[in-house]
Amino acid sequence: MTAGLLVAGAIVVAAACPFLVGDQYILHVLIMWGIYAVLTLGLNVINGFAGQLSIGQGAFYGIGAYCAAILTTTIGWSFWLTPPAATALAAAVGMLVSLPVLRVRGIYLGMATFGFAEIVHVVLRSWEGLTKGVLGITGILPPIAFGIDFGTQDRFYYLVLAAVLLSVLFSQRIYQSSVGHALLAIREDELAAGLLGINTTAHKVAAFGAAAGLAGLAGSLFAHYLTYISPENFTSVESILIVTMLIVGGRGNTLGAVVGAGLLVALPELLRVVNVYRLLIYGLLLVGAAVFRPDGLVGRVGLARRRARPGAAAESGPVATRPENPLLRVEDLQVRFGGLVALDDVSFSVEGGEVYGIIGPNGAGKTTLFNAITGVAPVGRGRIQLGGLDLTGLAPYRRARAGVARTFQNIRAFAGMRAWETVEVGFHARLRRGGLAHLCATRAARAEAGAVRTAADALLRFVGLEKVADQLARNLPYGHQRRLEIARALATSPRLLLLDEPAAGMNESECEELIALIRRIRDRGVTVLLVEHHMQVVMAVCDRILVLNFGRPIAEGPPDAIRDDPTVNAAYLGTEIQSAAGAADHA
Amino acid sequence: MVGLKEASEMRGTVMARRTVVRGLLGLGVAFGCALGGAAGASAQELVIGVIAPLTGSKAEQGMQFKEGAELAVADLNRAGGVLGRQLRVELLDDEGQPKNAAAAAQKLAANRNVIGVIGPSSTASCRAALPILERARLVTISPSASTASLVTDHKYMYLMSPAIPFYGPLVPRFAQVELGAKRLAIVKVKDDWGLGVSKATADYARANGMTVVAEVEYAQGDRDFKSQMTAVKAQNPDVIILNTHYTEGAIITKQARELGLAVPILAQGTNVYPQYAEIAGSTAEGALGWVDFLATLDDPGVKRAVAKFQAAYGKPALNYHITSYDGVMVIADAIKKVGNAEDREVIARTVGQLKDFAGLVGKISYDAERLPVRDLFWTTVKGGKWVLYQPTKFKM
Amino acid sequence: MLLQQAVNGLVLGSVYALIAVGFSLVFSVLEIINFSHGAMLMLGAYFGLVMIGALGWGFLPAVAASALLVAAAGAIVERATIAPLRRREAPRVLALISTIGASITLEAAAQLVWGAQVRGYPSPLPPGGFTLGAARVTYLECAIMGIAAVLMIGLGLFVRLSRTGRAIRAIAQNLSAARLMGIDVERTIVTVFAVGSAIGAVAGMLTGAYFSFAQPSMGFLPGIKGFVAAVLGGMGSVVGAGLGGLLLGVVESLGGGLLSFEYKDAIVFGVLILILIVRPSGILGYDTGEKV
Repeated sequence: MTAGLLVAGAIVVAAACPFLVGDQYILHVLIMWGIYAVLTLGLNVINGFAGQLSIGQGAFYGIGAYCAAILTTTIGWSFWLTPPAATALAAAVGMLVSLPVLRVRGIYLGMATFGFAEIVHVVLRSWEGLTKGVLGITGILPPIAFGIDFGTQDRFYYLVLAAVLLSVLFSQRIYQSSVGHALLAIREDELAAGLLGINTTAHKVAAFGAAAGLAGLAGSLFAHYLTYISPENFTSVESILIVTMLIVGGRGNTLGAVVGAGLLVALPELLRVVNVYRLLIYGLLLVGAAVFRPDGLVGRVGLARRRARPGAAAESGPVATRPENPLLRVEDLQVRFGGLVALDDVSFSVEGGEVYGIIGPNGAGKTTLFNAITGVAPVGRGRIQLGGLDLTGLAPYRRARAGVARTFQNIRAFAGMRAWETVEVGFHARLRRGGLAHLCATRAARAEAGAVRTAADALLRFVGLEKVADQLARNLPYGHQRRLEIARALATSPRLLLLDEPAAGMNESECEELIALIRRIRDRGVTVLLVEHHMQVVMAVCDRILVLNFGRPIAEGPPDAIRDDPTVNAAYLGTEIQSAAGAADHA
Repeated sequence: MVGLKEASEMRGTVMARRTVVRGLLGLGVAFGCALGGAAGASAQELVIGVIAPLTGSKAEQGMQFKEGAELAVADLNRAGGVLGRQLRVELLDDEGQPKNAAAAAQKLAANRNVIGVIGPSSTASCRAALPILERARLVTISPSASTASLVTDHKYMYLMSPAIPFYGPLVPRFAQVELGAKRLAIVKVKDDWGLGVSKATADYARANGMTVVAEVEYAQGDRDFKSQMTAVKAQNPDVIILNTHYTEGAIITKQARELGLAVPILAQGTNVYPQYAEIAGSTAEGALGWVDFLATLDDPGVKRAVAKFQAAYGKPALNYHITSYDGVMVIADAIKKVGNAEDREVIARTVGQLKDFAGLVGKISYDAERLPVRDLFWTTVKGGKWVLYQPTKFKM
Repeated sequence: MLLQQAVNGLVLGSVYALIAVGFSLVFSVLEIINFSHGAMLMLGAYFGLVMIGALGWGFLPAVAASALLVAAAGAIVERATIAPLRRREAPRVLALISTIGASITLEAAAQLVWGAQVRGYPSPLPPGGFTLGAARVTYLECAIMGIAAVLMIGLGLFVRLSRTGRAIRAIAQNLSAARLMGIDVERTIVTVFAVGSAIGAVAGMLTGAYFSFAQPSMGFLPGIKGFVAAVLGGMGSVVGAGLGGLLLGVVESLGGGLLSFEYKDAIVFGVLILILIVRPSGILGYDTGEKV
């Protein structure tokens, strides 16, 4: 409510600016602020939301500017066509480039995008036939329409303001929709996001396209504003500046992007007073900003996100499915890492509705088995089938969509997301409406978002986290994070749920709660595959148990049989399993 | 526990919001001050705007603009100002980037006390700033740019350094007449100026029976030219023409000699700086070039100018010290002739009618195309210094 | 001509390698990019210039003294701009901003102290050289390659054999585990910055001598090139930095000479991107992968 008022007030003030400030120079600074705000908002999509470091925003800025300049000066397109064309071209190039380049991660991705920006700069400088090389393009027409000349500063200002508002809206729509949830999930943990059935590559490519598209839009505005462009405007320094703006403002935060751009546009102008000490002080201020406000001036977690209203047609929790027999069939599986054979000759099958335990000493290959089933570890030999569907060779996200979900031994909750967001993103793969529908908030998409919310709330209740729904995952205690991971996995509505040591670090009463939770999950028709060291839990919930040792199965059977199996006892040196089994007996 | 965290997070959000508000307020206040400062300045004071790269790799050039213009303003003020009003320099750093030059131009255009602009330095920066300065009808004199189309495209724009149409053909003619060269190699910086002057060089050469056997280029900021010079050497030129700036020109000279290229080197005025000889060291010996000003030249005007800058700044004057100083003087002269500082259009036109104005070093005139006419000297490097060179066959 | 271009490339490449190793060492312990490294080059060149020019020292003593001073500068930059971020557990990308800030500040300070003008740089060796087949090589070029080789080998041995080197490698594997093992992590990190900066200072003086000039902005482009070389070779590896540097130098030289001077930089970055696509962690960088 107050946020809405603030936004409305900001828009009114922004719209009144040309009347408030008569000074053309200040208007100029405001216009440049607007152009950089669009650039930084773009970068925020790929870097702030999706977490991919791109130091190549300047390239798409240049592509957009040159696209607009060439279309107006050579073909004579009017201003009203060039920004859309520039946006589209930059977005297309961005997506094309991202396809190979997004294979690369982190700082290496930063370097690859930086390299791309350098290449674009060289091409702008050297392809004289198209770009006029270093001479640059002069005589770009200022926008004129309906007999109004938008070339004057105070009128151009409104064009830029419109572009900024559009970009802010776009950015907020991404942030608040399922697409944004998916991007944040990728930022927090790409692997875990993929295992929720999110097509991470497609999302990253789209985010890259969006970032590039906004940069293209900014470029077209710049070209029409300055009416002269040359390659010097689009150097690597520009790309670095845009990254700086975003980080100083606050990554992942729409307001942060706008504030960061404003600050770094205005600062050098304000520092003109100090003359020759300008850069000295500017540099020190940058250091200060980084050191004293590492999350950016506005902070990383931005404006609280609006949640969709609850939908009418609500599903509650995981849907019970008809048991299939066998649900999971693993045949003659082998996994090797170089010369090391992590799993060999592993065959077993799990019936629908069963809780199937996998135990074994450390290093026996239990987690590797999970990795092989979810597609994270390479399968050397053998087959994995889920209800008749051959999973071997499918990408992880496709396996997730086929009905495999998991939790992780080392917690991989999405640290920077709220609990409810984390669960909602689990529903991603089941959304029927496309990302575009959700971005545009069509009626059907809104209904679906509402349904997701209801379902997510139900799941949070199911695992007992409804009271902390608004907390960031990183602020939750350890046990809560484990349950949050389970809720997230259940949100994908899996047929098979893989729990990797869910009881690790839990005390006895927490273990009891976990046992009850696993039973309730099974009662909903979800088949559970459980890797666990806590024998108390294993013995209490498992219908059957597979024992692995040095990557090979050594026994399989119901808990009682396993407890008394001499081979198993030998593998465990007789201690752990006996005492745990004893404890289970007492229970 | 949970409640506490929630609260602390909320406080974080509130604080962040407060910071933003405070930041925005601060911005507003600062802008207000900037505005007030401009308006509050004495209405009597006339302002000369200087747009120059005061930081970054072209800072040396920018500092010459600054020092030249400031010295001229000080001289004018000591003599009672212009039309009885004192002058002041407003210094704007564009870091050598066109978009910053545009911002600087905007700032000058918004100030009604500005009467003229010295700068910007490069052709690209000029192109970005000129539409804005032209709208404000501010006469603009670049101390360093020499691209003629800047003047033809913008009626308030003047150059102070010799223009390309003037000196472009000079160098190949010198190569042919004085050195008897037939095969030219051209090394050019890939910028507006480098391409322009190289085209003038090559056009003249081809029209007069010479061949351009190699034409290699580099990007501003490159430091290694051995691959270019290796390619040049393979073509066996009679002479190497340097359409470069002095740092790169000197490194090119040095690397060419290291590769065993022993042919004469003929340089544009942009290379005729003390640093050229300093950087290239012994390999600079015998290099030839034209110049409009050089502190070590044996000329009464030059000596007077050198003494003046020596007294003011304790260091020898460089080219753009002179052109910036003269630029301010030319603007002041036009205002005096017009009799007021308000009639900007007339002032700009009056600058264009300048004939035999006594500049710091020599006489300055503008020709029919409003391009500067200046006296040039030929120089050569001898004993680590550029000294006057008397051509034996070549005549201006 | 091919041979000449290759020789040119190797000389440039050995300077790039020296710059790259500074980036690489810092990255190996902290996984950050130290953008102020280029400024260290510049400082090294100017300190050397002052000692040779104003104090009349010989080139080698000047190199040693300049390296020491810049080592101190590097340590100070670490304490002032990176250590606080670590204490606040800020995301690593922040280091990019704070070191860019440091670099801008240092460059501006250098301009205020030494002026903006280009200054000539003395050469430690008399001009001249010899012919090697179809290529000419100057004595200075030989010296540059020699110094670079000695420093790179020395650094490689230092990282491999010394106590500090062991600490560096341990931190590279796992910082918090190294701390738990009783390694003085903070001291080691400062040492890494000091050593990297000292080598950067030497690279700065060699760059100055090779191109015969110094200027406040002289560190920027070589800094970028050195960083590219480090990424190319694989961050965190001394051998990788050497390899990346040489490869970058040769690609640049041959690409320019044989294909196009105009597109030289595009060729360089094109090769970089291709290598990253095939080997996402550089040539010798080991892919840490993800542990599930």
